[in-house]
Amino acid sequence: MPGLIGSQGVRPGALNMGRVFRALRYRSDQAQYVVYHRPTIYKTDDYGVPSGTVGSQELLLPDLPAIIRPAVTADYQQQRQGSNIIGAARIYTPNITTIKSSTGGIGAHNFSQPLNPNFNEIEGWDRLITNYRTIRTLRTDVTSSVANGTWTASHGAITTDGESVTNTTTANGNTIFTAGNIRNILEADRFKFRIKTNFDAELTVITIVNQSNHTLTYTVTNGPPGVNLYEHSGDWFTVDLPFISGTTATSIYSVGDQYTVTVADGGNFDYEKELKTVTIANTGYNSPGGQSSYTVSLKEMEFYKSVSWHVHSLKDMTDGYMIFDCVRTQGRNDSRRRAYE
Amino acid sequence: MPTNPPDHLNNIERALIDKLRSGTYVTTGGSATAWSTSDVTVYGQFPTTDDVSYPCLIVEMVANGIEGQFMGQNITKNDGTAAKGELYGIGFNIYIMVDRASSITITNTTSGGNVAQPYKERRLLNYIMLNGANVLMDLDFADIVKGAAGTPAATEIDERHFSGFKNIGYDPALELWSSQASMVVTFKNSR
Repeated sequence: MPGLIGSQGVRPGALNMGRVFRALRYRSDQAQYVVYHRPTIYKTDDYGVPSGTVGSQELLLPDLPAIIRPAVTADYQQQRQGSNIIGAARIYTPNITTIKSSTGGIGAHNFSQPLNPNFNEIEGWDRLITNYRTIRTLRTDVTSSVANGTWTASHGAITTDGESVTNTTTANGNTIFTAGNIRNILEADRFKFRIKTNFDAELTVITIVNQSNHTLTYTVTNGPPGVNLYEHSGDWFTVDLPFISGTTATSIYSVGDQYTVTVADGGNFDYEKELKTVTIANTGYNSPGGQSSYTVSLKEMEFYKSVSWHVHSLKDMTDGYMIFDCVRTQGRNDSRRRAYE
Repeated sequence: MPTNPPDHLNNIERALIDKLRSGTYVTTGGSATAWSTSDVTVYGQFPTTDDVSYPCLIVEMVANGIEGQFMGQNITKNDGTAAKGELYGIGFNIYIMVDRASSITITNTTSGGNVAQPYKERRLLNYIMLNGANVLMDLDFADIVKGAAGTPAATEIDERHFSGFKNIGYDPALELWSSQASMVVTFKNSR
């Protein structure tokens, strides 16, 4: 019966998941961007045990569109022999081509397939990191308020357009947020922001200082000298970093290049103390020369509590979408953490 | 309110946890340490899912009861004083768990000099099993025999039996390498 399917208006493979995700994201919280995470894979020794030599760099790619159903589950019971699966979710994603595309996928700025062949499919034990809840939003719709805090620049002036703050800079330097009287970040374990520049800027150091004046620094170590922001000058670029005790290194991807970011806690950084300042440093001022202004803009800055979903099985893979069954194996009890502080 | 009541089960459980935390065992030269408290977390019961930190050792009391009795329930304590009591036994299961991110850097002396290597996964589990056993073999309970500060009354240990590790393996669903050992300690239940 040629033509029957078409005549009935059903066309297999015509489901536009990207469109579905966008519609859901605009109308509800069911669809959200998650962070794709594949931990560093180390080369193994002759006995099959991982060594200290990196075989494949960590993949940490924000802005992967997904639907998480149910949004969150949590089981607080620990069982014998360490059975500790504490939640399950079915996660829907667009197909891998859409995920990697430059429109609506992680390919927009953080990743470029031709430059990095490591990410070809979502495999077992890969992680999808979701925002459990936002702990502290650094508001970018005001430049100064008693509750939120104050934005300053080491060189330049701060303005806001009601959505993002912009540092019209006059030299290489810092954009600085100083917390007002809302400072709590105890429950957070990740820090995220979006940055945009209009010149050949590089993101070099992110510094977080708490109210005890302990300093946590994220320093790009293999950049020239920082993360290349100029490949996508004029577009927003997402940075999503771990904010949890014991972290010594993480990654930022730009276009396809992996930048190693060392995390130094100064030997005393207390993650449970309240926030004092966040400083974002950049270079690249006056390049290219002759511009009327050089701007660094920031928005969607937040400390959030995350859930790391581990992919256990692939349930369905079609031209339009993929379905993964995922579990979470660890979490934190914030009331106890605060009580034991 | 009782003063210095017998509290031998808590004394022994806490001594066991303290010794495993220190990772210290006896050598001919004195003592050596296999790990520090920041390398391995020791729990006195299964931690909640929110608290667990790997690699970890979990000490879980699973049984206790009378091991042997004496005429008139009379015993003599180590310092020669008389007391009422009997030989009492206490059984523990000890679990070791290592996850994929667990790593302890160990330095080995080779022909090429000292080489520091990260121990991970199965290699780390093997390391913690043997050195956990070393700690248990050399466990002398000296502190609780003396009645250390914070312990209500001294506990005198009679024997200890370590049965070795079993159920060693990797669980892919949980991404954990784990093993389990049993241990029995007998003591004078003096009162």
